[in-house]
Amino acid sequence: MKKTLFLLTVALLGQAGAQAVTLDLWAHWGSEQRRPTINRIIETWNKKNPNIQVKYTFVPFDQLPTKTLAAVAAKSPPDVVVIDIRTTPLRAAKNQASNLSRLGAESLRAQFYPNLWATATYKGDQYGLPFVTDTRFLYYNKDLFREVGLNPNKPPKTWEELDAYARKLDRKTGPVYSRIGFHPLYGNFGLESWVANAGGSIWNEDLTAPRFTNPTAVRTLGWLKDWTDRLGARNVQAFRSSFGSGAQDPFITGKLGMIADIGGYAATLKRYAPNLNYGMVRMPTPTGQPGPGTSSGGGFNLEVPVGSKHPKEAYAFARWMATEGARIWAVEQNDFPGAKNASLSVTTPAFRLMSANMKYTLVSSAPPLAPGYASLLEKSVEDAVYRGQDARQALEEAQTQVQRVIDSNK
Amino acid sequence: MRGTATSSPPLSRPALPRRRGLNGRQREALWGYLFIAPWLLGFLCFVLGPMLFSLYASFTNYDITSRFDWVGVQNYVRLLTEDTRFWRALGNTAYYAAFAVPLGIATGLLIAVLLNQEVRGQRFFRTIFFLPKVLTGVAVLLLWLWVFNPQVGLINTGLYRLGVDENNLPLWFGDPAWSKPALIIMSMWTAAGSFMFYLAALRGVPRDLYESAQIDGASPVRQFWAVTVPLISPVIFFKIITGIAGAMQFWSESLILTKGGPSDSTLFYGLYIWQTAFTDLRMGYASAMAWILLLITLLITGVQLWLSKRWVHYEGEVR
Repeated sequence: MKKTLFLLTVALLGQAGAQAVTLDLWAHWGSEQRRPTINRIIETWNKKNPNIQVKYTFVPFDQLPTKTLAAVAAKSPPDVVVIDIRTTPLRAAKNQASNLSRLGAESLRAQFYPNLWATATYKGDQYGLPFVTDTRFLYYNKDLFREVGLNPNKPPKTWEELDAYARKLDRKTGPVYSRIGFHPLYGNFGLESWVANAGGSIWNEDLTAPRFTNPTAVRTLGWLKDWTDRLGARNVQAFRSSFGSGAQDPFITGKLGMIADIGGYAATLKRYAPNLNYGMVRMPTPTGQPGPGTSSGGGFNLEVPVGSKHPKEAYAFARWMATEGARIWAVEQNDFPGAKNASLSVTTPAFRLMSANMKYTLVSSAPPLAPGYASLLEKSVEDAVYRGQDARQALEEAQTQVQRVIDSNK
Repeated sequence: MRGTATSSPPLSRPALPRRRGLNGRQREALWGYLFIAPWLLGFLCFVLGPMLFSLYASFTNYDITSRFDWVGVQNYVRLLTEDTRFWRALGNTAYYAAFAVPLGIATGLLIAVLLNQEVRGQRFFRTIFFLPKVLTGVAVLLLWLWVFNPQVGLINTGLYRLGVDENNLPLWFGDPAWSKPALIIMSMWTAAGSFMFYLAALRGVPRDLYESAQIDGASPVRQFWAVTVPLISPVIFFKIITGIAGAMQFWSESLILTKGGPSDSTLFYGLYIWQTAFTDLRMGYASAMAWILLLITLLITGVQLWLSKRWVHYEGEVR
């Protein structure tokens, strides 16, 4: 009897195995630079897993969230999607991303950087796997440091030094600036990042209540405002509008002495200015000591949308993609992977820096009850920094608005 | 789907009284409906259906994927009493419509009048002026970004050459006071492409009217206001109606160029609806906003239709 049962089971399993499953993967990689790598990752998987074939669909970056949402609503979603790292908790709360803990995701925790793993955790369960992220650094032009008498081997460590060095690097030709040493809002670091850099946060622990007017946030916005006032708000805005990209990048052309940008910026510099003599260091903090929010990052998670016809197979692929796939991706694309092992397979100096910077990097999530808060916060920054509104008052207004959205979303 | 129509009897016999079946008019109507059925089905499934759904959704807390509970008029009450951004968005949209629509009509009409002159190379110019209708999309918007760039852009470089002080040059998309005017100037460019409507109408104005006006000693300007405008008024009216409806729904440019900034100065109604629906996932609330916009547009259109009795002249109309 037992034997018959066993044989029957084997037969059934064999039957199931023979049925090849096709999974749909959606991501925003369609460019000449990205496409070959994603194709290689999928070919590698498809060769190894004849029973689980993956089909890749490129969806333009700005359309991916809405298309995924529509597909989930229409009950015919892709099986795996590469999607914004900051909004996984939102999709978890709204029943759009599948609970991967039920499929065994907990056992993978140790393989990922904890701050990235946490981006996909909602109410104790896991709703995504980190794929790639980034972390920000201060880039400074060593030749310009030398030119103004600064030691190129002693980059700024504190906000005070940052300010002092920047003043030295400023250059005016007549009434207008031809070079600005540094401005905290140029580059890739906003108010929220600076508040975290100062050791604060504009949200409470579980992202349910805005704390925009806490002393650190008000002080930080005041600091951004002072910085702008010193240069002149008009100058800061006009100067920014002269920035180009590629070879016309302001840091490459020497318009900026220092800039905050992502680790991948090193690759941009290598491409457009191979001879640029620059340094890449940890972001300065008010005290000079690093903390968990000294730098900030974004990136992408892998999710299995709710309604996938093959959640088990989708999870199996996502698991492989976040680890082995991420290794291929990191080697070819220089993006920093969420899986520890994958990050160790790249040994460039920039990558080692990124790896060391991870524990000081905050990858924050958007609060599920007010995912669109950023545009409200942005308005308060603009009003205070460029239009002379009092920092506390501007933040109070934004907080009121955000609170209203939260209340109506409960 | 042929209905129950009987074939018509031969003419030699008196027609039998028909109780059932269709007479000629009904049959014609049926065929008419048959011919428009594809459109009608599409309209019912893809326009009217979703509209009614969104009307229902506007009374719920619908978030697309996890809840769909009835909340009564709460969304509407919140919009009208608590939501300052709603009024801001409505104000921005009204500002845009108030300038973009009349200026757009003036631009189109002016170009049409110019292109109606008998000059050499007329066809060439008509083609050139039609380009804005053909060229659209993000590439053109990026060109505009360059045109309005405060430091290196076409407009500010020109103003600077004309002697405007460096510190008085507008920052355009960087300044809440100048961001909407910049978008309005942009819209002129698109409006220029619609000269075709006016040109077609101008071609239809009888020559002899101008001749009579000239004999009476009317100047060209007087002729324009007394003859041309009344005779092409139906076209102008049409463009006003469609222009206002279009301006009320203007927002994709602001999504691409300014994201609603600086300081919410280009937060147009449509952009706010979109953000509410797809970033905040408050589809019920966004539906309520959409219906309020529909009511406003209908109201304005109604007023326009009523006013049109005074100034729009249709050919063959007896007054």
